[in-house]
Amino acid sequence: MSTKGENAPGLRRAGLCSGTRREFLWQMGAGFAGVALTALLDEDGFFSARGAAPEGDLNPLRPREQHFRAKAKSCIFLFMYGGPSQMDLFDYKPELQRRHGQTVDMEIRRRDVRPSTLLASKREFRQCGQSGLWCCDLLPHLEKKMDKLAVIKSLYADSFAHGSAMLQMNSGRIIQGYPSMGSWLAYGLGTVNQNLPGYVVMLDPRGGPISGAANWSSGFMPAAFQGTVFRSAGQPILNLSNASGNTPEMRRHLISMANEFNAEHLAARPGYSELQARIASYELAFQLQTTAPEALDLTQETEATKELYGLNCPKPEHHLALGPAPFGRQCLIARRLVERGVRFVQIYHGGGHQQQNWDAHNGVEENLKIHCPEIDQPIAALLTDLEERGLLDETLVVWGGEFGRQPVVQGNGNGRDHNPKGFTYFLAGGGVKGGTAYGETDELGHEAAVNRHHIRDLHATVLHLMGLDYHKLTYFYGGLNQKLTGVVEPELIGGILA
Amino acid sequence: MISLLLLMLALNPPAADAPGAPSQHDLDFFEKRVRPVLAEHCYACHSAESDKLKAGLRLDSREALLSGGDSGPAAVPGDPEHSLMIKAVRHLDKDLQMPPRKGKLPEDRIEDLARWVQIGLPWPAESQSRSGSAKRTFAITESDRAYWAFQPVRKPALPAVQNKAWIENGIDAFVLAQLEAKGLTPNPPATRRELARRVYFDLLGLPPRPEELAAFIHDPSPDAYERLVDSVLARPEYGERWARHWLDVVRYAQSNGYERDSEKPLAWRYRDYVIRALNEDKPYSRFIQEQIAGDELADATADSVVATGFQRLGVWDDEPDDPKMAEFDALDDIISTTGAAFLGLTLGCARCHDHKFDPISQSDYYSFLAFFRQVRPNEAARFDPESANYLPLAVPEQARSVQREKAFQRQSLESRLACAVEGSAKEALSRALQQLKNEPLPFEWALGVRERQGRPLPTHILVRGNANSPGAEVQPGFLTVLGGQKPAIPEARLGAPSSGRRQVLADWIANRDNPLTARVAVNRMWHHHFGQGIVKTTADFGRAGTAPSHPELLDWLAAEFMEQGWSWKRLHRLILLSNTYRLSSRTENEAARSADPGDEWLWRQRLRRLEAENVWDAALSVSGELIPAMGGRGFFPHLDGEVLAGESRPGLDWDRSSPAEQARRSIYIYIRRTMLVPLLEAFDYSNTTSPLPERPTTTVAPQALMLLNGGWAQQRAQAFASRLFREASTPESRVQLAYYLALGRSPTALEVKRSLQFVREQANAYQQIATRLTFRPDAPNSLFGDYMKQLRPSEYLRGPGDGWSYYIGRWSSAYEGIRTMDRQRGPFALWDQSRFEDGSVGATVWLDPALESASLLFRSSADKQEHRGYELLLDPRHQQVLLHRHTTNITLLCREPVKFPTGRAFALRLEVTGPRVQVWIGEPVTESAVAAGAPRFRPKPALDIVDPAPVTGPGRFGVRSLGAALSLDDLTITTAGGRWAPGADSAEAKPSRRGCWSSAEQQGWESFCLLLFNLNEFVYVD
Repeated sequence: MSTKGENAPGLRRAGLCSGTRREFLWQMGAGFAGVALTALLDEDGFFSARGAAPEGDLNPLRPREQHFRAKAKSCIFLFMYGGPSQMDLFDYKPELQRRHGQTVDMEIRRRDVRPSTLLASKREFRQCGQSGLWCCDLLPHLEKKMDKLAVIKSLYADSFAHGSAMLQMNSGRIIQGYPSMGSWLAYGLGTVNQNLPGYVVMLDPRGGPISGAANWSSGFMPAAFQGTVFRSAGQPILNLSNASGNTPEMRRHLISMANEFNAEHLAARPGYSELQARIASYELAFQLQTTAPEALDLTQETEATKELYGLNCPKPEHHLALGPAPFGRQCLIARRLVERGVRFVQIYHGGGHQQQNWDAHNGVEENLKIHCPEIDQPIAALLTDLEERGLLDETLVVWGGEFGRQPVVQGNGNGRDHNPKGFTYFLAGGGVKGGTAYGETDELGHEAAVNRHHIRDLHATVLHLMGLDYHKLTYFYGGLNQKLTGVVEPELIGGILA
Repeated sequence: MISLLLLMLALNPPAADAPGAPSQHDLDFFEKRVRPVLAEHCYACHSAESDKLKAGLRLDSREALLSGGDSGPAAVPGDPEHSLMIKAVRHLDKDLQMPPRKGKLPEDRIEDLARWVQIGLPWPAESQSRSGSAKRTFAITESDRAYWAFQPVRKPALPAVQNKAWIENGIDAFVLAQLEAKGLTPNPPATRRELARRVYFDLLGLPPRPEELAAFIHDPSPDAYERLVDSVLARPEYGERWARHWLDVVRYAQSNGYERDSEKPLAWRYRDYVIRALNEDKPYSRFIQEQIAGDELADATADSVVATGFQRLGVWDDEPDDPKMAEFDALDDIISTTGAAFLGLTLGCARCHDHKFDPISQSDYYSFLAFFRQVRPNEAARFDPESANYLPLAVPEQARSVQREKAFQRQSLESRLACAVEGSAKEALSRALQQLKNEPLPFEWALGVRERQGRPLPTHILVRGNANSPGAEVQPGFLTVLGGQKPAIPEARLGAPSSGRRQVLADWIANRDNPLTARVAVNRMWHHHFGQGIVKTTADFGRAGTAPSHPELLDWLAAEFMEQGWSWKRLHRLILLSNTYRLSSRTENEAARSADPGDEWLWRQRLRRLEAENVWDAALSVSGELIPAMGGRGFFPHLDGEVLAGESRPGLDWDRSSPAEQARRSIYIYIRRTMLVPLLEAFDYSNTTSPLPERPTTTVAPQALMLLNGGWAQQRAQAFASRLFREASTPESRVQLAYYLALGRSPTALEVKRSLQFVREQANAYQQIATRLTFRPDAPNSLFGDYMKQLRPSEYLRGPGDGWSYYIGRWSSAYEGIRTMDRQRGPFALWDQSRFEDGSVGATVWLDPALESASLLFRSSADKQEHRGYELLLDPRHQQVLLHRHTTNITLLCREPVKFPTGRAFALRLEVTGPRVQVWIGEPVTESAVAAGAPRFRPKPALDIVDPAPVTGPGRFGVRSLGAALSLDDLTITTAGGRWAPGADSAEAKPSRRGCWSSAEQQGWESFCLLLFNLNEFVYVD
């Protein structure tokens, strides 16, 4: 409990019903994720914080200083769920093309090496832009943006299975129960806009990813830091609107009445600032009913912008394909969210199972033809739009999945299996050196070979680009100063930093 | 690097000959060809001068190199092929490539290094003297041994105090002594009302019933409070409340987590066991023994076997990347949980290296692990006497013989079936076989542990915790810092069902001589009764935790606890009967408030927020719905479609429970690790994956949204309002009852007045919208096929009941079990009462700002689940209306740009005559416009079209909405056959359904009940 209540503006002085409500909320430090009465929130480490009264620290999502000056203020993580095929998209492997059909020994699951048949990519590759980065022919819009991208082709991770690989890409661990990267960012930086969640997750219309909410969990941190699922159509936030169909005026009336009763309850209990904080949370809940839908209101966007993102493109014939419109809409909303100060936006592209996402066991060509057009125009548009608005410099865009795919055949003769041993990510925007090709897989595209980086290095690099020191960003739990990057010392992927 | 090398050379005295010393030739080779390579490429990370030594390895002396780092010796003299450093520079292992990042060394350099290893690592003798082994050595110091938590528990004498009259029992003496020493006085006691509410929520997690509360408040006898505590402690709800505290610490859940997150069948038996153990007041020592070694005890019972489920509750990946690592991850989960739950130690920190804060070595960790080493790894559920984690709750002989008998019967039936000719005899046989297969075994099963047979597996220290890098072997052993006495491990007996090791460990933990066990237990109880432990970090009594605020009190309680037979209930009684517990939580005590704002010295009780489960249970209790049935697998609360949408197979493994099931206490909610109930999560529910010793208390906006807008809260408010009408006859008495039920007190006269005014105002507002029909979609885009089969069509689109029929629309055939909604043919509702071909429809329309599209359907007939007829679609995003004809195809007949608002009402009129369809969209409805008699519509229709291929014949009127709610006020349908007002019909229908009061009045009371649920006074306990 804090003693601040006495000094903080009392309800009557601030006047809940007067025009200073906003001021009251600010002074209460309340926000969407609100007020955590936990003493575990000191960024300087646990010793100074443990046992201390969290004075002036009621709001876990209050904006916090970066550890050092960095350009990026927000991050948009385009999560290609299922594991996109690197050798069909950005990691051009002429040797694989030449050796199509040959049999090689390949590690298909951990220490399970089987004779396998090499499968060349059916895509055409060309070098694009001034940088000459390779890009396949299914990404005609994105290939014009290659000079903006830093393509890392030499990442590796620890699991061949979706469940644990998804967890690791999000939380650094293959074990369930650790906070996701968005939670770490929300914890480290707070959010600039207290009327929106600091960490937003958007899902594919075809369904969520494997393991669902575990992917945006805050693990052992308070739930205030977990990702908030934001629907890109309809009600953005759970229970944002009233289920029983009564009017906003009636709801306002109820909240005002609660405020009155709560104010009397508080008056008999001076010093309990959590009671004030809870009053503030009701005001915010009411405000959210306006502010959250506003972020989704694309009628405020011009026709040209909507066209740019592919919002008017029809759904293709293929029964599993959606075309660019849904993901384009989410990318556009992501831009609106970062404009409004949301710290971390993660969009899952691909949902459900198999060909509904990038999990191309049953045909890599079909898979690419479903999914490439869905992302190509929207991502190119997002980069263009961010740049035109001067936001690209302060927004970090991250693209990639939980792993990559094998250079050998699986299943009915044209699929590819999971491969965590070598895969591709690209980054763009704040602090990233565009037009960079970094790292290499082996000649077949199977395993990271040159400038190998574990994904803990990617996590460290993302934190670094957001102005956070991955050593200093710790949270004390289970007897340990926990870190996103874990106990093994990560190495920044210096080659992509501007 | 050169300068460093020079410096090193300068510091080193000239070489001295020694026995077996390398030849000068070899030394020259080292100096010229090897040392420069080491210096240039390795010493940045692997020398005494490194800023940050990597992998604990130094390469700046022969000794350090041979002693090695975390992965073992860097080289084997004479054997480059088996030398780690040579493998590393040759890049033979992708995860061990040196130097890192810069690419491979030139081949000739690599060959030089290999040759140097081959010839035995010649190194000038002098260089070795200045660099010792890089390995840390682990030592337990005197100060480690003197650490408070490791001292034996001794019962201290009660301290002297001035105000002796205040002392009710020993607790008060310790607390008051501290307060007096600080010059502070404790608060006055809480009022009886506050106290009753505090005791009920603390012990039962439920509010007192009005009659219970009244009886206590008016009980004149001096032992009224004592009898209250005793009677509450004897209630079965006590076990349900306190089991939940324990389940947090042992990461209880009913599914495995990860991709499939499949069920751990019968995990609930463990939950029920804990509830039972608490209600029976099972001694805590026995409780510990049963969970660690319930299968090994001489007096094992069905309950003690169920208790070993403790070791199976963790997450389990059925598709581990590395099965061996996964096995040790699971063991680590058991050890970390055992440490947190019973010992208050963070044992898991010593898995990869010696503990950084506490005197627990990595060797201690693996010695501890050795007690559990024989436990077979988790596996998929099978109810079979050979299963690793499912045990029959029957004697093993019986289990086996039943199993044998069944297998024999099955074989015989199968062979007879194979020979049988077609006909009734064959059918009978196959029926019999099927029946045999379905027949359950004649005993129950439990989730628990089974050990490996045969000689115990050796346990090795794992280098850096890596299961694939075993180091020295260790034996089962207790923590060195706690005396390190050797456990008496029973001889391995061939054919014995278990090694008996866990029982040895259990006896050591559940022991009066263990300094941690009782302290941790009493402190945890203190935490739950005061909102903060004497040691605030209830699962970390080590140096990274906090020191006890009242160390002597802690010891006194621990000693009492053990003297009283490790009885939880006696300890509760002791604490609850103290004056300290009974203090008021108010803060008028100025001196104390300014001197000790955080209440470190316990001058007051703490105001506490209800935990997630208490919010849930209290609402059900207050509304009168709570069903007290105990035990079993549990129930599945209804989840909104948008919550399910986060799953890759939305709805998979989420069952549907009856309303009665859903009215049970929240501890019986089925816990699926990837699908936690949002309302509970928002109120800081358990994380279910790792031990959660103290729940955080956060106050977040989504809590308010869920309690204001969520369907669950509104249903409770409805039931609460109905209860008020059942149990109280006048409005004033209803307010009285509501306050008593929800807040545990009578309202003031002013509160009654304001409450009634609030009800009236809300009722009036509801009266304004009495004819409103609201339709709200509640289905995600994709659903798992099996879940869809359980849903009624009216759960895809929620709207009025009477007179309306619901249809799910068109969904794709299943792909991977998942079906996807065709968004042009989504769920819809049809009004049953009338069919018409020509006519008009008028309504005031209100669209939720988040709505994607709303449709009015006419001349509609349902073809199975699909609409056939016309669809007038309002598209607010593009400010247009569209007319579609649905036959087997959808034909767009017309698209017109029209301005209409969302979030405000507007009038709409539709006329259909033969092939002609006309639509008028009115101005937004404002009161002033109506008062001024302004026309509702612009004269020109927004849409006017003649369908060249019209749908003919009478059909029904219907509604569809996507994304968010659509409301229709004053819906009227006029045809040659008559005039209907479906909204008014359903408004009139409500009283007959609900009783004798008007619908609007009932709704006003529902608002009032919802208001009470949202008050701070409801969710905080004084």
